[in-house]
Amino acid sequence: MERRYRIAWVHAQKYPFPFPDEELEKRFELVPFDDMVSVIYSLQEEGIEPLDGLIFFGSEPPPPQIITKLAYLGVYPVIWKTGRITQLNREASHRVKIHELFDDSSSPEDVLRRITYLIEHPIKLNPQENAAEIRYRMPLIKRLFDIIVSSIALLLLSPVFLIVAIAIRMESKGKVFYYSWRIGTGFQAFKFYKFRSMYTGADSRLKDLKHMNQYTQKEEELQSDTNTLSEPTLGTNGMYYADGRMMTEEELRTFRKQKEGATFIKIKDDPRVTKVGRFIRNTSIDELPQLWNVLKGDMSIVGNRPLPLYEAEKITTDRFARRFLAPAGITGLWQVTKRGKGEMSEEERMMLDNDYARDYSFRRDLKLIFKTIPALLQKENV
Amino acid sequence: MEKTLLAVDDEQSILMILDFVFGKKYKVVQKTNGAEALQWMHQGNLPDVIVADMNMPEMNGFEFILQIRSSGLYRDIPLIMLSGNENTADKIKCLNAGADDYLIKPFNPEELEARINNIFRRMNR
Repeated sequence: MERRYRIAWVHAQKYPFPFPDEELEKRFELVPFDDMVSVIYSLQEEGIEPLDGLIFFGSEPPPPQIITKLAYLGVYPVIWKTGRITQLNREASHRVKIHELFDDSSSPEDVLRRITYLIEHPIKLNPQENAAEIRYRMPLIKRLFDIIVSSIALLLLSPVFLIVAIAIRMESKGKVFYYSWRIGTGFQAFKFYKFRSMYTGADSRLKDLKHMNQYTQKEEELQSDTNTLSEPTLGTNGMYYADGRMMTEEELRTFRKQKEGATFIKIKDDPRVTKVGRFIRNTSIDELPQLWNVLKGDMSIVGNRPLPLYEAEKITTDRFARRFLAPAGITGLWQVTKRGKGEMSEEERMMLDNDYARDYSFRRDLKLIFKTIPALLQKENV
Repeated sequence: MEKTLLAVDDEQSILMILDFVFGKKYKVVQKTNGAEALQWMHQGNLPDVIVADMNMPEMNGFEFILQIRSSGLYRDIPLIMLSGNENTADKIKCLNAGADDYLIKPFNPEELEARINNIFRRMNR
């Protein structure tokens, strides 16, 4: 009896498996995932049974770093299912090293034949070349700067650390430091340190507080839209058609975004925060332990904010994923650009992250650091 | 840009002839069976045209056609079979599986070239 291959089916929630076939399901065990990062996270952190291959649905390929990371985790082949294959799809597949491409005209036999062949005849990769691609290389000058600045800062700030630690312990029981897993450069998960600013056990109360989220749209707006619209379908000449309404691509994006809910979670006047917590948050002192992360090399001083898993996994599948290709950092473009005005949309925020990823240099980093200093003196309670 | 011709045959002399005839116009890549050819393609190489033999060890020409035509990446690559097997049933089987043409050995390289050019003309390349 041949082994049944384990194949990840990514975007299982949005799309049913597009090649329903008895024979295929006999040979393949389809493991559903919502997105690529969940696959990586499950293999890396949760230690699920290894996967042979992966099929994802989408109009655009994921960044090559994800494919390399998957290869590193033993997932081969990575297969892209798209609506209709074009020369552009093929070129993109080639560029990001996707191993196979299928569309609506591919039959289940095609899929079965190709996946089986690819699994049974893995390509020989040069392991060193592979490892080099996975690890994002931080420029030496950036790393040196990080080490020097963070160690000096840690040394100079040690009295502050001591005082804050005592204050935290005096107000509420629990650990002085708090960590959460964050996704940084190249989707690497690491422990992200902060001073504890909430009562212990606060994470479990997060769900109850979702309605207070600043980034969620106003209730009525959402209501009126979902009442009049069902899921729109793609029509001709770039317009999208829903029951009783026509919309442009721009409108469609807004529509989808509202349906999916806000990606970032940030809450005004959060009741879970302690008094000391409120003070250290307003002064950004709670962020200081990240200097330790910088010294360790998890992140840099300037870079894109490393995201918690539930945020990271929502923004990997589309064009915003580029942000993960740049170093993760304490301060970055979005923090200095608009901090304190409280009105930046998550779209804008992610655009800024991408912007940084596209073009970063040591000079730009220095500029950002100088701009961060006034931004730190912000007053808003976020 | 120079086009790539992938020649797949276990017979060394055929590979040499193909290289000699097409070497000036194409970059000729030589592989001795279907599995080797596929491995080369899986490493990220996309030939512009493939000329393949039928009877080869490891993977024969027919299985090779099926793999190429099942793949969304490779299914539009022109593929011409070159075989000593004159059996019409086999010929039809290959054409039905998606071979663009089937030439019988011994073959005239000029005819092969003409057929390849015609395929490109129809594809507007």
